Amino acid sequence: MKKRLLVLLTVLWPLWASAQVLRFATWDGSENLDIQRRIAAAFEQRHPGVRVQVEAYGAGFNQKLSAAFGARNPPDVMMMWNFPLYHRVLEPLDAYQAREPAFAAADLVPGLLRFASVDGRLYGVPAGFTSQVIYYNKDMFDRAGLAYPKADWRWEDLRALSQKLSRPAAKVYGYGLDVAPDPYDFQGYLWSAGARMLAGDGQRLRGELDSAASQAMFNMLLGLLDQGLAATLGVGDGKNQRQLFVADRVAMLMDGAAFRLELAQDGKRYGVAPLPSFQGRPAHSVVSVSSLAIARDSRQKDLAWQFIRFYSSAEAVRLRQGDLPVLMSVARELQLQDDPLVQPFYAMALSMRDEVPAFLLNPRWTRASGVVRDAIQEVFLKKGDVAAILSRAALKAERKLQ
Amino acid sequence: MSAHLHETVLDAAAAAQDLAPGLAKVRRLRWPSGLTPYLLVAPWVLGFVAFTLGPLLYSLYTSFFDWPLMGGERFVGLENYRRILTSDDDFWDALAVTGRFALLYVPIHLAGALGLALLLNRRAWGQGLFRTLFYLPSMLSGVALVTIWTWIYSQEYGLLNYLLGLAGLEAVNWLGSPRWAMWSVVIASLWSLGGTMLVFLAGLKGIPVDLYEAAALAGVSRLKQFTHITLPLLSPVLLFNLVTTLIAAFQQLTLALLLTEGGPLKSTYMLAMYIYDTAFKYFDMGYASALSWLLFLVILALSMSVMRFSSLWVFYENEVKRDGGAS
Repeated sequence: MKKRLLVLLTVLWPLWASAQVLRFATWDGSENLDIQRRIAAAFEQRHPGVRVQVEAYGAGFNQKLSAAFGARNPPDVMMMWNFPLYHRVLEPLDAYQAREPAFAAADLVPGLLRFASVDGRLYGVPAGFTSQVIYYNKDMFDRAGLAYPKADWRWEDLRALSQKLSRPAAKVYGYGLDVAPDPYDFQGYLWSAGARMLAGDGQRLRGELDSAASQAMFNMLLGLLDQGLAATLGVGDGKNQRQLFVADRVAMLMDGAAFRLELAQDGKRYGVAPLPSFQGRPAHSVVSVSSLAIARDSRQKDLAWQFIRFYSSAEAVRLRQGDLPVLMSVARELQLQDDPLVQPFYAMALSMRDEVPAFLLNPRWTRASGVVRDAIQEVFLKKGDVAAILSRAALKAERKLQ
Repeated sequence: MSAHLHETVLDAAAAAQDLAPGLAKVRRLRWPSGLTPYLLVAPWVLGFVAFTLGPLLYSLYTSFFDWPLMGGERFVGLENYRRILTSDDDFWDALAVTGRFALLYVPIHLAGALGLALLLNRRAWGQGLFRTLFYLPSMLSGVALVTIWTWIYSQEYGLLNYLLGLAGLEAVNWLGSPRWAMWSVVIASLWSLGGTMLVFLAGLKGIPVDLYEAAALAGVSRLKQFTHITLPLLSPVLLFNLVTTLIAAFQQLTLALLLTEGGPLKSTYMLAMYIYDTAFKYFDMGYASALSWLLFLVILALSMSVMRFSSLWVFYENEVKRDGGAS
């Protein structure tokens, strides 16, 4: 047996070693990583002699990727979201796209492609996305005899529902508010109020972050906390808002598509609704897009492009069961737009078309983002006057952008 | 036959004697006698040069550049240092937080380690067991430590708040309150005082027992024995532990990064964490390198101050003996 194994290894090793290796770095882990490997295997089947080396960077993705670029040893293909920061070391894809008439940009969920573009040049191809919606806990709603939220609901409705669902003495709340959120996600609140964090010029926060509209949204959310209608999440001992939702301690919370998978695993009864409107304005959500990009230093860019095309093809998109399909044709084929647990994500993704997230406006936004995050926390931990905190933060963040 | 063999052996021996100087020469050529020590230390030296000295000098070089990691570097001279010292509020805020942490951590750490060492220095049952038990936490990795302390500090399910509840006290939001977060990091950091404790214990073992016996015979109280015998004779060890603990305090990163992420409201955002963020979140390697060198200078200045003023309170027994012999 051992001899046979040895012979087999001796025969296969040169074949394996001589394969053309394409390195692909991903931030996915666990089940999603298995899906990536399946996609890679399907690609290998179509390209004999090619081996896709899936490199799972996991939680330290940015650190590992930047170190790889710094050492001039980047993977050929990588998942990417922060194109303004990385675009100088990425291969522009416009020429590749132009050579390929089958590249169906029109089939993508509208608005996604701009996340992979910088200064009018395309650096990536979207492969996955999520928007933010409100998850509601059907068990808690049913026990309270309340009707589920409807698509055209308002923040006043959310407040009224929270009043009926909250029992602060028992640490049960209608809404779970992350008081130390990623400022990127928090932009949805501000857009829904007609405000924004950063002006269109990519430089100015004063008059935007501290505008009357922004303050109105902050004050409304602060009111939910003050009245014991919302749980303070995101600071302290890692109280996981998702766990609280599953444990029937929080009836509603804002989250992305990945939460669906956890709820399905737990067998939890839940529903999703679009974000509520604020003061008669249409609600807006941020969209998080994961794309695939090619390193400028890659020595096999054509092969890398073929991999990207395969990865974003309908066949691979179907394999990525955990993600929302980025191709509208696949979404239609799977009838996802009729699925009440999925349709709101697409509706909210379309709501973002008029807004530009701050990180696309200024490549130094990551630095300013920390200041905004502190300010949000300061407001919700009631460390001072809302207007003063926001004005101070706007000024400080502007300095960070210079 | 045997006589012939005997002659053959003698001939061979004679030939070997003739060859001996040549062989020895060859041996000398192959293995120079002075090379062995260098070869023995070579792995350490190579490791030191490759992984410590090299990166150290490279970071000094990097600190004079605008070095975005991706996209090419640009020489800026002392601009990074000027910006940090004149217009970077985050640097001064983080330095103040680090100083505050050091002010709390260093004395408590030293007092705790000394207290445990004094207890273990007494002749008592299970001394070896307790020594091991107290040292064991020092062997835990920072990440495991953080996981344990996150459970201990949990506002609703944590052990600490459970104990407070038993005592009739209100639960504390250990990690979520700016007032308590720093204390939480300090307390969790104390978990690993085993190493310092062992150094103190070694120092205590070196103090002659007859000094205590003589003092006891003279009716000197335990407290006076501690202040007049133990502390003076332990002061060189105390100085060593003070300097190393001070350095460790200013380099604190893991606990603050994983336990509180520098929050809430940056109440535990220390300088090492600011350097980490600058390098690996903002990818500003030049600026991060300059920050690192400034941190190094702060630590150097503090260590030198401690050493300079140590002559006021550190007692070296051999110096006194030498002075005594000369007089």
